[in-house]
Amino acid sequence: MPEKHAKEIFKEFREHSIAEFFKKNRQMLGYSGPVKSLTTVIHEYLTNSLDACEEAGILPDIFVQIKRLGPNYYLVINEDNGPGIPKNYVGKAFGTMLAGTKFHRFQQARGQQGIGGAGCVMFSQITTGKPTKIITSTGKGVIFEADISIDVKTNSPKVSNAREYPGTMRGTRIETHLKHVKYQKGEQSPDEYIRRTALANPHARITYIDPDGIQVVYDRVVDKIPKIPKKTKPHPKGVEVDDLMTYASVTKARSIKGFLVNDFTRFSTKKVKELQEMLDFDLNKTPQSLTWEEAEKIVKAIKKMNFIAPPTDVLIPIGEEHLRKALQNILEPEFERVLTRPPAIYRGGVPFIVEVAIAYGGKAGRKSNNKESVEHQMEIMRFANRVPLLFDAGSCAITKAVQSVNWKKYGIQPEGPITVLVNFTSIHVPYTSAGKQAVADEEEIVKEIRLTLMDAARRIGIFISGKRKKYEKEKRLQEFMRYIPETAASIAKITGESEEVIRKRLEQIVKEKYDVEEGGKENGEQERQNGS
Amino acid sequence: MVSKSDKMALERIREFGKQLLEQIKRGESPYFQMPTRTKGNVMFEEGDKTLSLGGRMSTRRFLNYAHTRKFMQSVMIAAATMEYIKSDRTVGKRELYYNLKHSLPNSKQNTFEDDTESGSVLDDLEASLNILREQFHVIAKGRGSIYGDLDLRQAGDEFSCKGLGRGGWLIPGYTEDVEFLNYNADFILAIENDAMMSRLIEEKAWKKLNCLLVTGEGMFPRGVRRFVKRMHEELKLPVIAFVDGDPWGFYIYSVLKYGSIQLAHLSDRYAVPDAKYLGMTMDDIETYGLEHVTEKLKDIDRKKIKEEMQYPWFKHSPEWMRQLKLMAEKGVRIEQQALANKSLAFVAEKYLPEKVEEGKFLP
Repeated sequence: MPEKHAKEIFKEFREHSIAEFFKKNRQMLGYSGPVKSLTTVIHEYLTNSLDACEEAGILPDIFVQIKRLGPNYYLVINEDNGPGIPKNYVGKAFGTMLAGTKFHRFQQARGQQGIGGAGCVMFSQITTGKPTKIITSTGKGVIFEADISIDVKTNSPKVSNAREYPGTMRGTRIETHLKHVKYQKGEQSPDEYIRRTALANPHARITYIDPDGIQVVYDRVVDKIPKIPKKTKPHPKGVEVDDLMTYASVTKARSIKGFLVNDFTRFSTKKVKELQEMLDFDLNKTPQSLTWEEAEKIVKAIKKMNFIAPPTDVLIPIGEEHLRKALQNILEPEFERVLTRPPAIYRGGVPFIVEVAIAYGGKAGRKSNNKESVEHQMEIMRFANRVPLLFDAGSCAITKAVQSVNWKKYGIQPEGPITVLVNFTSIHVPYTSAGKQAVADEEEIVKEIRLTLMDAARRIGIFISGKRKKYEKEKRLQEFMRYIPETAASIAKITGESEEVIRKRLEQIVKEKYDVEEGGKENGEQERQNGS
Repeated sequence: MVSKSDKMALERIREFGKQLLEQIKRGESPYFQMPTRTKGNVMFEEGDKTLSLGGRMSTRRFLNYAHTRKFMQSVMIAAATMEYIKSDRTVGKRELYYNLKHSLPNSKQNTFEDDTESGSVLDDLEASLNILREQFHVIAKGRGSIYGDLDLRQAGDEFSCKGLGRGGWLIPGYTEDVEFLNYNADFILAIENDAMMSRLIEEKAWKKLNCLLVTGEGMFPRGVRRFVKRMHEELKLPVIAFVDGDPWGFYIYSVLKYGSIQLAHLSDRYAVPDAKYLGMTMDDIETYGLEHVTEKLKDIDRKKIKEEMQYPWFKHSPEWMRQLKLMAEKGVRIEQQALANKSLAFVAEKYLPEKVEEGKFLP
């Protein structure tokens, strides 16, 4: 297969059964296991809604509901206030694999393959045999409603029960039936996915009703739509062999030379010359005739070359202020520390931005399952381009970086009510696998995250130890006050003095002298030589 | 009628309260001092051969977080004992605890959580005010008994410590008011084990040896030690100890003779520096052919032996060091009751008379 053109590969699975492709690659698309599959569907719809709203300059207001219809049988509803989908595009948007608007576009984005929405329709169709209902309106007084399924033979949409009617609505509502999925609370649940999405998207308002009918509203705390990341051409350093094949198959350039110069950033004719000298085939041939082997050689050669770093204004992080507001809204911590670092570069050319937030107290931290005592554990929240990563934590660079920090050194107990959030922003996120749930542990990435974490830890550690001191002090003051009445009453009994007088005086002494008397000599009995 | 002792106790408690009140009125954190009762401040005085407290003092401050609770407890006990003395009532250690225990406002804490807490604060007050627990009208639970030709008077009753069947007179916690009326004995035999006491009463050993039999049923309680001390001083009777031949028996003897670390401040009222040790000794095993009725030493026994080798009064006594070393070497201990292996009467007929006759005692 590697010898074939990407175009042929695509043509092939269009010609073969798209269902087969889907079944074979299900786990790659996030549909492995009943728990993960449900979270994947929520992820796909929510991501599409957020992207659609942002592109249209709309503050997202999204409603998500999961209804239990039977054992391992659910209905997922996702409704947004986005721009809506023009009637003629509805079928294509949900009924054709790889037809999304994101494919072949190089921009920092949540999804990257244009397979999401259709994937859900496909999964629903395979597990329940039912189409997915779409209700959408562009806000011009007409609502379009239809049932969509995919003709697996032709990879084309099948639209049924289509109707139009007047109504005031703008946005899109999707209703999808799912079997072979399971709703389960916990770190990999839709609940958690939505909560974390809300954290990373403070400009969105998300209403969620879980299968038990419990409603949670994550309110919008920021009235500013994130800047739309600039569209940019890929940087040579971030390119992998399959990317190169894909790009080559769709380029309008007539030669590989032209393809490299036109479709990549920082690829000058001088650089092409430099590349040509390292290769044993002519770069003047057509991009469509590029073989896998040749693509491999190009990628290998690029690794040895130097390129100017790509522009960094194409990266849009959440931002310290927005992230802080989101944390305060959702975790209600006693204090938090948020850091957004300047862009760094990995693999010699791919820019990325690390954002770290540490929240302490309030709803931060993960409650351990130990029934005997409610104890907290550090909660690690991983994000890539604002998308929560809930799976494959073990193989992720973020996890590795968090674990490499000696938290105790900063006065932070990993058993405490602590949430550590890391958002990795890049045009090209180096995922460990097609499941897109873990960031590859590239040395530069791990190092940058680690340094940012340590910086944040240092700053929050001061708060935590200060808080502990204050807490101790208050506790002690209370303790002193607690012992006053008995002490006063007893001394009154012995001396005949008024109990009231003694008590008030003691209270005064405690309040006045507490700090002075406490300093440095609180432990054990003080001994002194007799007579001194 | 308020006794002289009561008057003195009341005086000291009032003085104690007055001092605290003055500190409070001056706006200071109230505090009081007491001799430090930790091992580091306990000294062995060669002169009068008892344990006593060194010069170090501890200060207990209300405004020291580590002291506050104990400070409150101290004044509570002082106030309560003042009431006991005034109303001429005596309470037990546990009664005192129950009398003062209640919950503190806004907390799950109690004024006292158990009677060891109240007991230890009482010890502190004893040391700080230099008055005996008994003078506070708090008495230890009676444990231990005495048997022999001795007539006493207490609380208006006259009685004899002989002719009491199989038992003796139970020595109460408070014996300061006991009057000695009459006695006929050459010495006091202080016995560790109460079963041995019963054996000796049954064998009429007190008559044969012309002694008073006293037992503390294990570790001698304060009441017994104080009573033995009084008999020793007022009746001029020598005290001879008869305990198990093991580190625990040695320890009982050590406390009887030198005092204890816990009550080092009261050694002059409890310790009997002239006491002698009759047995059991390591040599008894061979002398009386008791090899097959010894018990093997446990780890905890060996630990105690090592500890005792560091006691200055053992350390500087070649005879005692020999006993301790022998025990460690042989790895065995010998109980008083092992003598019953010879015959029940053996201890009264042969062992004790021989030892007393020969006068072979350990110092």
